[in-house]
Amino acid sequence: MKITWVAVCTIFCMGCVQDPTAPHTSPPAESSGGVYILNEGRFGHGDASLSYYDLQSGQVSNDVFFAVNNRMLGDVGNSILIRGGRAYIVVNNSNRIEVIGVADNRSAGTIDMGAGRSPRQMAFVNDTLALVTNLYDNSVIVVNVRSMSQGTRIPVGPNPEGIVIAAGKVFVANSGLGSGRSLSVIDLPELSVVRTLRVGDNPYAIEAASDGTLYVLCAGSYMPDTPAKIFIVDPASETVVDSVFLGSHVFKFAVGIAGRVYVPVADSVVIVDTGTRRITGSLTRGVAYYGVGVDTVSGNVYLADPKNYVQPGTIHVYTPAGIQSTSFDVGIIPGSFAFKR
Amino acid sequence: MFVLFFFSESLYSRQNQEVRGFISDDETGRPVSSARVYVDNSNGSSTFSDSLGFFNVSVIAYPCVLKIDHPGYKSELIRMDRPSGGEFSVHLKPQPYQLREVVVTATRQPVSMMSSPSGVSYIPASNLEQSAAITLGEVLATTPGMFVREYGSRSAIQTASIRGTYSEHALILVDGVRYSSLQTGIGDLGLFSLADIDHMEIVRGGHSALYGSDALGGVVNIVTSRPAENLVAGAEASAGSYGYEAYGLSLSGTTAGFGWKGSVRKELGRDDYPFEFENGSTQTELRRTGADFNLLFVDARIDYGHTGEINGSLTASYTDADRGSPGVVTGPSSTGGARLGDRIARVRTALEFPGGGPFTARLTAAFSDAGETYYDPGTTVGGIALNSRHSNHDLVMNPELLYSAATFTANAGLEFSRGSVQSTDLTDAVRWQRSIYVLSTHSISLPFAVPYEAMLYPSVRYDLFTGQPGDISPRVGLNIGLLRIPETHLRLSYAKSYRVPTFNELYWNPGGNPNLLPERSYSLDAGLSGLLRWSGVWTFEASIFSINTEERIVWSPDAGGIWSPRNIASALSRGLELEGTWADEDRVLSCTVNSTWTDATKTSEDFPGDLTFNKYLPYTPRQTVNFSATVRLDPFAVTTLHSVVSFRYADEMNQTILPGYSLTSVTLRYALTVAGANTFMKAAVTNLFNRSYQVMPLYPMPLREFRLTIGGTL
Repeated sequence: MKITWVAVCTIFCMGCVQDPTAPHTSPPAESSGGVYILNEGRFGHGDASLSYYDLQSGQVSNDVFFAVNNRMLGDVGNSILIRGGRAYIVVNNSNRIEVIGVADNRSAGTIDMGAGRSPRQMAFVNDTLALVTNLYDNSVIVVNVRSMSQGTRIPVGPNPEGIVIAAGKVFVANSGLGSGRSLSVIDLPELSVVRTLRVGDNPYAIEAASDGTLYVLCAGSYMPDTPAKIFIVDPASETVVDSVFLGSHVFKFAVGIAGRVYVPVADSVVIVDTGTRRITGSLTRGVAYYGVGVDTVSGNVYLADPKNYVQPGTIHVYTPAGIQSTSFDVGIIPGSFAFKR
Repeated sequence: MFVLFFFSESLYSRQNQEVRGFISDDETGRPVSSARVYVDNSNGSSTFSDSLGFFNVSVIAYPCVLKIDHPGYKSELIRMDRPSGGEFSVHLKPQPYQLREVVVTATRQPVSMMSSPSGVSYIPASNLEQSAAITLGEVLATTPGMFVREYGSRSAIQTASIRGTYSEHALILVDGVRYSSLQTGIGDLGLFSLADIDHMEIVRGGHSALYGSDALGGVVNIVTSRPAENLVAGAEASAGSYGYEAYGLSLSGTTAGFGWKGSVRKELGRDDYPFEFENGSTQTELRRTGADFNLLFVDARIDYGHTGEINGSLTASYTDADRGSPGVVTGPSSTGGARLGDRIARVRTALEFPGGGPFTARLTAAFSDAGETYYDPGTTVGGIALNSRHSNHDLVMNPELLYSAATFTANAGLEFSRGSVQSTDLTDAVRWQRSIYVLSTHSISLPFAVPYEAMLYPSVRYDLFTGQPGDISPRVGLNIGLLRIPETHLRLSYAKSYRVPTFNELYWNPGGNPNLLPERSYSLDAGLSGLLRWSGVWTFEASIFSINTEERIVWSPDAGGIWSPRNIASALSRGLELEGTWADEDRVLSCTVNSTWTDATKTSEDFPGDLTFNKYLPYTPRQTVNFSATVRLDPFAVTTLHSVVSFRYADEMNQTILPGYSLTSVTLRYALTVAGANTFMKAAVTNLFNRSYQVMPLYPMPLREFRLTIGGTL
């Protein structure tokens, strides 16, 4: 009887499927110039990752944060910024900012933003202080990047996303998760909201153009369904000076060289001329890109194709003339770029 | 067997005499429903005993032989030389082995597990008594082909995934009535009390031909308990790790022909268990926070039976659940403070008209009102905390006519339903369903020793939902009796099934897609089951399966960046299930072992060069193994359960891996009768070896837990 049972159990458990070993990733070679691509990863899966494209060798290294630091970045890599030899990576759904040295990608520390904050974008006041928008905390929080600690919390409008500093002031895009229509303006010395500026529906991203104006991308609301537009704001007078109709819903754009702004609208990348403040043409068509970045030295445009949002995305690099120069695969849902020059 | 005859000479001369009787279990005295009763040699009609064990047949001429067959019992032959007056009682002797259980979910007619055309599991209440589980998911997870997705412990949502299909492909029924949500397509197994369950039937493979939408991977039918014949009062209380407390009271009896029962149960706990948080080489011990729960279950039932005329039951249940829903853990600051609130009221009435002849009419009507709230103070929209509210109403009418003869049974039924949703996140919607189904069973005795019998199970169903194309779902099923000793059956079924889009998929704002079509699947199930009496009773079952799902609905961002569902994918799930049981003749020792191997792959390309093409679907284990053993030495009973779940891929590219895990639980139960009261004490340990594990990525599960329950019935 015992023998029979042992035989039965052996048959059932024989060849129990074993865990395969994790895929191996080799650390990248050091280089002096390159592009960081932050891959957002799937929401709730903790698989945000960092890729690096070396401009000299053309070599692409994926998962460089894990390779050097032996831990995951976290859940939803939302934005990346380089300042003073360090890259600051805002990991949205893990409520933290990962800081790495750009020389070796080694972790220089973590700024814990606290549960429920949902940090999104970052802007530097100076080499020590930065400001972080917090989507669900309706705030901008001052962080000290030397001590890796939090400072003042500044209440702003609903669900802030983009943030930029111009004309000695801070401009914050209050998205309201689709229902917002304003920018909060913070005076820098006081660090408190002094004014609210009405723009379009769902202000999402905000950048300073080379002519000093602010380009405010309003993604359009969902209910009712309104189209995306760019509002152009003069930061000194805090007035809307023009707007550009885009259509669809748009969440990312990048300021390029030679007075160009690149905006992925549906399946084409349109070019807005900062002189005429009108769409002058398109860089490329056929793919709905999720992210866009511009190398302000070469003027090359980096476009992030998220494929079906569950597998490695592809970066397509275009010259300002609209000729594709290269493309390479990165991590899941590439969305943000930072240029190390 | 003991048969009582009440003779009445005055009726002797009449022809086409009606014979009435009552069938009960010789061991338990409980009524035996679904026994086939017929008069031999076409000398009268045939019928099945009704849900209270009563039957009516008519006899043409005396003397005659009445035959009573039930797969779970030894057959009885009753010779009647003259008419009997009044009712007579038949006590059937149970067959002393497993696989004798009669299931109705596989065919909508009673059939023994051995004769089923598709893979079936049966979980009796006695298994729940001996189980360390406190959730339905933990119990179901031990059956072949089943993987239960757990997002935490008692407070968390649990969903069933059968044969490598997704959770919206497992149709959950309670007493044959749909429980799965119309809004999400999912039945939350965390919202059940284990106290009110009589038994559960799990049928694997596509069953839309019997149950309509959603039955792509399989069907779980939870059958609630009936009122007791005599007055029974029960009470129990439990306490366990992390603040677990449970209290239950029940009262049941029969008054003036009405069976009645009522029960109330409360479960609460903190679920603030410690867990190992691993990130690369970093390991931190964290504590789960914000996962407390407070659950209330209230059930009531009235049964009415009048021999041969009408049987009826009315059940009402109310569930109130307040659960913390802290979400994924990606670091010390990633735990949220969200709460999930569920209030579900359900009423079901079933009427049965036996009619005396081979026909029985049934009418089932049910109404459910399910309200859910999701409140997350950490997610604010326009400065206001996220507070989603959904309200679902579902009204169902299901008239059905059953015909039963000695070698042929048939069902024909209609189903009408009105489902509606009102929600802060969806466009309000009402959806009507009109369905018709016909199915039959044919038993054919073969003129050979091997094989000796063939059972055919054809069925077809047509469903029409508002705004959707009509769907025809056929199934052909076959069961062949190969050998009588050892009893061996071969079975085969092929079915087309479908899933109508959920309210979320159609009407979510923004992104819902009202132009979605149903998902469709083709499933094949072939199996061999056997029973051998040699040094105890052995049973063995092996199944191979294949489920090919097309037009799968997948959410992805549209060109404007809004997440929206589309019918774009297809998947193929194939596998092997093995199960063996052994028990000695006296059932002092009994053991069960099963193992399932599943290969579920994505078979569609989203675009040329799609790297997720032909990859394994995430969260589906390649193998699961369950081994359980019970020793019963009155008044003690000890059960141990050891479960192994292999690694799962956590992504569509098959690059990230969720490690496999193995869990062991032990239960010791001590039962004692004191002054007429049946009392028991149960001590249970789960995750005995204190393993750190996750069933779904980033949802940590508890380490070792202890629970003690005392209770009794009077």
